[in-house]
Amino acid sequence: MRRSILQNFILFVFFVAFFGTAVTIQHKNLEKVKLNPPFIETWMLSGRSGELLRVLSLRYDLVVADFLWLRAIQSFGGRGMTNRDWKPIYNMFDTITELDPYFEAAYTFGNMVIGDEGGRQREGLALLDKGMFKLIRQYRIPFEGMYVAHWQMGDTQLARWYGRIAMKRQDAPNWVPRIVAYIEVKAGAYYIGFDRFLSNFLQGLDANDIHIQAIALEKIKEAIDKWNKELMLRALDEYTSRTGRLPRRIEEIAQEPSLQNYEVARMSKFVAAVERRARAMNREYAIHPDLRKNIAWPSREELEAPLTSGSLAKAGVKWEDLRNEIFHECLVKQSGIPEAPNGSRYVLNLTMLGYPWAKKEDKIVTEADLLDLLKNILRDVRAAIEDRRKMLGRTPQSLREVFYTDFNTTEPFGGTWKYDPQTGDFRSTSHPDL
Amino acid sequence: MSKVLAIALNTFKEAVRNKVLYFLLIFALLIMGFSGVISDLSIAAPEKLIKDLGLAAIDFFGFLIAVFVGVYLVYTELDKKTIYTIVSKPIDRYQFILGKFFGLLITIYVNMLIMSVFFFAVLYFRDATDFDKVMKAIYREVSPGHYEPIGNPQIQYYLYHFKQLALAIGKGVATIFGYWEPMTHHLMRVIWMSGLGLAIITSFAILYSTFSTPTLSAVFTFLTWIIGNLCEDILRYAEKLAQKAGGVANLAGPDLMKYWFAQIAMHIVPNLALFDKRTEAVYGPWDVSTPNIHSVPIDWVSVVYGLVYVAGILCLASMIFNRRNFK
Repeated sequence: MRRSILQNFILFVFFVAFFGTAVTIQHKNLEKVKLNPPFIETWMLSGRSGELLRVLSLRYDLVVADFLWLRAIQSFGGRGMTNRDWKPIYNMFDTITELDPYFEAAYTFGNMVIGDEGGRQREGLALLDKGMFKLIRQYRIPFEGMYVAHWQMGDTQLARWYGRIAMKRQDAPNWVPRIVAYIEVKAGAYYIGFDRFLSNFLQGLDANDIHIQAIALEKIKEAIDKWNKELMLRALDEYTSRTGRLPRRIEEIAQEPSLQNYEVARMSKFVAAVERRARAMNREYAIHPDLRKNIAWPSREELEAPLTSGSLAKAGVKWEDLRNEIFHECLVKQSGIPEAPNGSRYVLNLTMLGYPWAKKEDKIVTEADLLDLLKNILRDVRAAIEDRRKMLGRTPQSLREVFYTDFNTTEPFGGTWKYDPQTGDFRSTSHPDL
Repeated sequence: MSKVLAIALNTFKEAVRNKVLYFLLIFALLIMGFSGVISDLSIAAPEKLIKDLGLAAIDFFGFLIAVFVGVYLVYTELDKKTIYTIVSKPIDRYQFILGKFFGLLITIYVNMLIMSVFFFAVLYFRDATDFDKVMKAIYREVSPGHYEPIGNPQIQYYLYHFKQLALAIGKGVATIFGYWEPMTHHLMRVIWMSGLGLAIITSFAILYSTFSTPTLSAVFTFLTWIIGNLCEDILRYAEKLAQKAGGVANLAGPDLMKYWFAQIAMHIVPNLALFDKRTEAVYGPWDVSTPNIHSVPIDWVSVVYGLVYVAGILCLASMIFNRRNFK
């Protein structure tokens, strides 16, 4: 009897010691749990099925999510073959991602089903938003958000936001910043877009990768071109508002406020900046000779000007480390018509200028592009005349006989069209040689 | 110690004669095999499906074994009066309880190991019989874009699958002894952590069987398992109550009682969430500062928690069993 009491006492002491330790550890664990709030409030059981299922699944939430995932795939196929109503599937993906918040495919596939197929981009983005903040190392989800926002919704500001998040993710490939820079330029954030493409070009130089250099160079030109055009188009609007008529020559808008004392990146400055540094770094060149076509090349003086004393450029330095100084050297404050980055000059596209439905950026183009446009018009009209000639068995008497209506297309350079009914020859007075 | 071991081994031998055990084991293996099949229905992450289902099956069927085998262990001894032959020997009652506990635990762990081998074999086999790998095994590229079969493609196809099956089983066995490939990295840790959670459930099954009938013990163990899985949700419930009232100080009446009841409950009931490392096994650790590899760091605090919790419950079971009158 005494032995039993003693044994019970010892067991009791052990029980208190062990169980007390367990409760103490549990207390500390629970303090930690408080710091890590659940994905969605677990105890608000009404409303969304994900919250309820999370509790009911008793920690087998991944398995429940998997079965729902398989069901969602089948549902997607089934609805695709029947009513194509994807709305109910949103709840399914919402529930799956509630149960398994790290299931990347559920977010991306869900967005595809709801947004791409179902046309409910906002709901698709809501799903991506949810995943984006749970899968914080992966670029894929914000990248898809950028895709949806830009290419499906046409919301470049929103696309920029997603893009910026995507490019900072741990597993983002090196082409992601390039696409984000494209969106930046599209959204009018030219400084940022230019800076990103510049960085990309310098990385290409560091890696000695001519393919990357070529892409980045084209993108730099595109960014500067869009930057310039935005300023000029603003000036064009100011001019038409002020005078009530369209200009005939681009120089007429040079005095407008938008083209006074503005800051812009200049292509020739960029070329001079990198070439001068290449020399300081004991390199033969920065821009590969194969890539020098259609670039605004700087003057000899600009190329040979010494570097500023603060420049870090010297042999052995990485190009990427010179990004800041190159960036600042590319920027100029100026007034008047900006320099076209492709070595040509900006002109008014008179063909498009008067048409309200024409794309804004087509109203001011470079001379080289305008020449291409003129060539295209001449080629197309001549082909139409030839077709008509074959049909009639004779040369058409007028352009009206070719097009069944008056030929009203304005000559892009401001000249006139000349049609010779005797020979069927069609030319422009501004470029009679073409 | 030798007495405990003798009872444990005897309990193990007794348990493996239980037909329920085999039904559960076969069912678990079927589910794991099935996971290999349904993973083909998924358009993404097939490996994740196998892992989720396999790890969950090992854990859940381990729990079922603990319940259905555990609750009968003490009861059978009392019912068949075989307990008299044991207590009449120089064996303390706590040694009997410990022996029963370890015997049942060995049974559960042996079953878990069998399930694990099968689970790993399914994973390895699924990976080896990937369409590209099978095609590479039965066709060779003679020139870019041109392939010719190596022997009879049909025979080669079956031979390849048989070979991979044998290899997958071999790798499955090796994995439980420490071998790993990227897809099975640290999965054994997850299974051992599940095993520790099951040790708690087993100790509860033994505890309940010291004072109640098998049916009631099974119900109690089942409820303990449910509440153990909801432990962290109880905390959130208490937090929510306090939050709604604008702080604990503002709680009054039934809400205050509920709050304190929840506070006490969540400290006392086993927190089984601590032993669930399945999400980390599938996605890698939650800690953002660690690189994105599917490693599962050993959570020593949880291990200690599990061990002391089990020890505490076994002490309680022994105390109750000490007072038990066998008449």
